[in-house]
Amino acid sequence: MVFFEHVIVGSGPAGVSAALKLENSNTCMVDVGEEPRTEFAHASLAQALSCGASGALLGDEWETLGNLANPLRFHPKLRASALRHVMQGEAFNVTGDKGQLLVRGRGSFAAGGMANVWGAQLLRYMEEDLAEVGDWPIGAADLAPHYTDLQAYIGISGATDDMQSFLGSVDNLLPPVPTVPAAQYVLNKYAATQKSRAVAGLRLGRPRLAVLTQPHRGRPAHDFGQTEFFAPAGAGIYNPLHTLAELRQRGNIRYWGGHKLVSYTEQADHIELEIEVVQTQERIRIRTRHLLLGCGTIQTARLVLLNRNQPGHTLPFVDHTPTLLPIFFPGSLGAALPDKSYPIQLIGTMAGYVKSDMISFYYPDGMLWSDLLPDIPLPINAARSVLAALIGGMLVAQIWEASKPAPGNRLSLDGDGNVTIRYPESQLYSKLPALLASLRKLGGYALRSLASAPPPTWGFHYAATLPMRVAPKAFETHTDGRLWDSQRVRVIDGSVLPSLPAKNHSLTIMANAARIAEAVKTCGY
Amino acid sequence: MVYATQDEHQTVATVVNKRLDALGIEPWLRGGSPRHLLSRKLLLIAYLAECDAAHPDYRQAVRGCLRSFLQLGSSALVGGWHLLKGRLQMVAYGLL
Repeated sequence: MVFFEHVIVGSGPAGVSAALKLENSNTCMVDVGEEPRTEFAHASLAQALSCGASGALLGDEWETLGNLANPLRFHPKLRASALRHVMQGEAFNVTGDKGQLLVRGRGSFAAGGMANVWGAQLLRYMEEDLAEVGDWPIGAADLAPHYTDLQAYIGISGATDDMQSFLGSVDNLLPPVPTVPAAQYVLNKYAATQKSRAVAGLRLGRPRLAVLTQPHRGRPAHDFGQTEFFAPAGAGIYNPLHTLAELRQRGNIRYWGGHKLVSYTEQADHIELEIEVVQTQERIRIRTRHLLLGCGTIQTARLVLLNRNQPGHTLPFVDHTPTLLPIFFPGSLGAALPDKSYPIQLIGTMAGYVKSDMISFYYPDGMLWSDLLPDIPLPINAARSVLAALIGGMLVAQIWEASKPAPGNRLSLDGDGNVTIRYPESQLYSKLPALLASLRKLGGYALRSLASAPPPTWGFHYAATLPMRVAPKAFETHTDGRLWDSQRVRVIDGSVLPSLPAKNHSLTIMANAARIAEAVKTCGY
Repeated sequence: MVYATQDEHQTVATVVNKRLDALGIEPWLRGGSPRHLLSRKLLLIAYLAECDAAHPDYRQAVRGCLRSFLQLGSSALVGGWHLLKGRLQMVAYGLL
């Protein structure tokens, strides 16, 4: 029977991060590895629009218009035909407090996972972040060396500014992404008002992004063509696929794309895996000494629940449900719009509160304007005219707060092995009045009534289904990633994070996966 | 595929046959999911126009602060007029 020392399941951020540590040691990556079915063959959104590429923009089968009937059918970043492959994994249903169906979702079987559509904000958790949530069995110091290595490897752009203490330091920071007029306007006002300490509580700065503004380790700088809603991350935005390609080129791991882990059975000195060849549905069996599950929080939880065959068992489930808030800056209206930009422009936090938050300020011009028209309560032609006047002075805030498991938010399987996530408990941002007051001091205006929360699970920051503990109970994990009663099966993705500080967890997933992979190397068996 | 109800088809037929102010009526029908058939039709036209190279002005942002405010004001007034007209037509033709 085919044997590997290590089998890593999944090629997303967790999988490739573990693979970097375990290359050259008889490691195989098993991955469904779906790839885009079409290509967005335009260097920029502007180019596609100027040549009338409606097929590329709307899809040859009108995929982008899937939200015409149901505005919440697909997340805006997952509609384009070149991105539809990203969420074709295991299906799940999300229900509300009365059991009503809220969302039909899917996990990711894509090569590179959900990172194909991430915003590429890669942030460290600091000790203060973990102290706030209070239930992590490891500290930021345990992750620190891996954060440092990954940031150096990936290349992070940003600035040393007022957000330094919130974001942590990064060696050899690349220059920040270019600002749009509204963001520059806010930064200028912030610099002026900070001198007078007039801004109550809001700290502001440039985001830390895995977006190259200079060539780095053989990857070119990003071209800022505003294609993020139409195509997977290009060479200038870090994507786990870059690492996967590197590893395969070096020949230091085996990559089994088109293969899906179905089940596993742990024995005393090995694990036997049942794997499906996706194209033929043939089943094969292999053996490994160590299994590392990195299929994504929902899919990994499903695999573990199926493996233990405990019908009715529920697991905790955590997501960052963002609050979205359009903000208008009259002082920036009418500014010339750049041809090149990146959606995430600024990052901020309301300091001095018990519950921390992270506020990302997005520039919406990289979307089709027609996506935004229904939110303007005017006839469509007037709405378009309003948007043309507002776009130069507009940013959209996406706000996260620390998120801990809530009793009502649970993941389970039905009798057919399908995932149901009960998610009755979510809240809008708790400090909205204070934020609005601070924004006014920076020349920004927003209405509380315009704040909204997208459907549950649209934060895509899933975590906590198999949380790390010092002394894990059933369906929890050791701090070295091992399932509670296992020696050889480890979980390396967001499942093991017990809760979510306010920042996104992408870099932490990668750092933790690297930490767990090192534990495998040194476990002695 | 989400099909439209008989009422929605009837509404659209009335708007077309009586040459009512479709743009002014649509916002009153816009909320909810699935979207009203009239909203879907007009949004589809918006998407096609935006992606058509023959309409480069669709995404023409306004230059100049004063022009922006003037356009905001005129859009609100014109849009408001169409909203009022649309609402009155809905009452008059039993589309409520």
